[in-house]
Amino acid sequence: MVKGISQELVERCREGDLSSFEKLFYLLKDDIYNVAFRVLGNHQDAEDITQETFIRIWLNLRNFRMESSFRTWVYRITVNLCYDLMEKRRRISLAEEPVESFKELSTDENPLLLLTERELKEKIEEVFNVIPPESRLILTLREIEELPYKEIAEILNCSVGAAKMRAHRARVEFKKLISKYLEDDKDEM
Amino acid sequence: MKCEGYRKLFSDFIDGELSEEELEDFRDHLKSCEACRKKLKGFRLAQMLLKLLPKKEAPPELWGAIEAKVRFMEKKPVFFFQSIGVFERLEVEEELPPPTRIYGLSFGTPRWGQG
Repeated sequence: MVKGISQELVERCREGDLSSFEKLFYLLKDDIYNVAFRVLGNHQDAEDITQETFIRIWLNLRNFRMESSFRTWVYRITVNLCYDLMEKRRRISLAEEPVESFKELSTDENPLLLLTERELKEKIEEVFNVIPPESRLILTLREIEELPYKEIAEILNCSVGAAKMRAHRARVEFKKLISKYLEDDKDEM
Repeated sequence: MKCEGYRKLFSDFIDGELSEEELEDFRDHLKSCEACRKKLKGFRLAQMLLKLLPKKEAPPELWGAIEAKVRFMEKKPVFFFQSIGVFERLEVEEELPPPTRIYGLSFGTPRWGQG
């Protein structure tokens, strides 16, 4: 178990103890929220997904088998909910309006070297939000949540090799976009 | 292996996923290839920039909504009176002994032999 989530705590939640479930909420809320926010790109959706993830945890905890990682199980719920929401949105946007063209970043701005720390972080966020959601997801799990590839593979239901390949591709995508702001490295990979 | 092949190994290199043999070969290539060194520098910088993305924190108020939903599902609704503590006060009162009040009529002290 991770980050203070003991087997006893999970067991008490499974038995329906709401105060234990509240403890679990405070231990997991930021991990769930961060993944949802990074994938979906806004606070409202991240809040909805976090709320729904905890409801699913509560409802399905009795079916959770202790032999697998609890954290992995929780991340899988979050990721699946994010995918469901994106799919729903995609269907709506296909039905209502043409697909938005890929957002272009202007290249006539200051290189990263000339930005303050706050501006730099804003620029990184901006570039990050332009890469596809699947790439944002794997980069969030790897670079921010710092999960091992084995766990990422379990969350994404793929092989470790496939998880590594996806992470590499996502890094290349991000690097291509951020390179526009790097003075000495503007060409392709 | 050509440069393109080595560039596909950038992530594995950064993540420490290369075997000792692969690592030695990778380093040998970089020593002799300025273009790949430059590419790796840019790739590494981009990966370090990603690490600057802050971890977003969920507002703690979310618990209120989750708790309410869970209670609703479990059929343990939070009543208004419960929320303001009325039931707790009633419970305390129940623990106290019932008030003892003796009601009676007083007619005063009879006076004999007067008058």
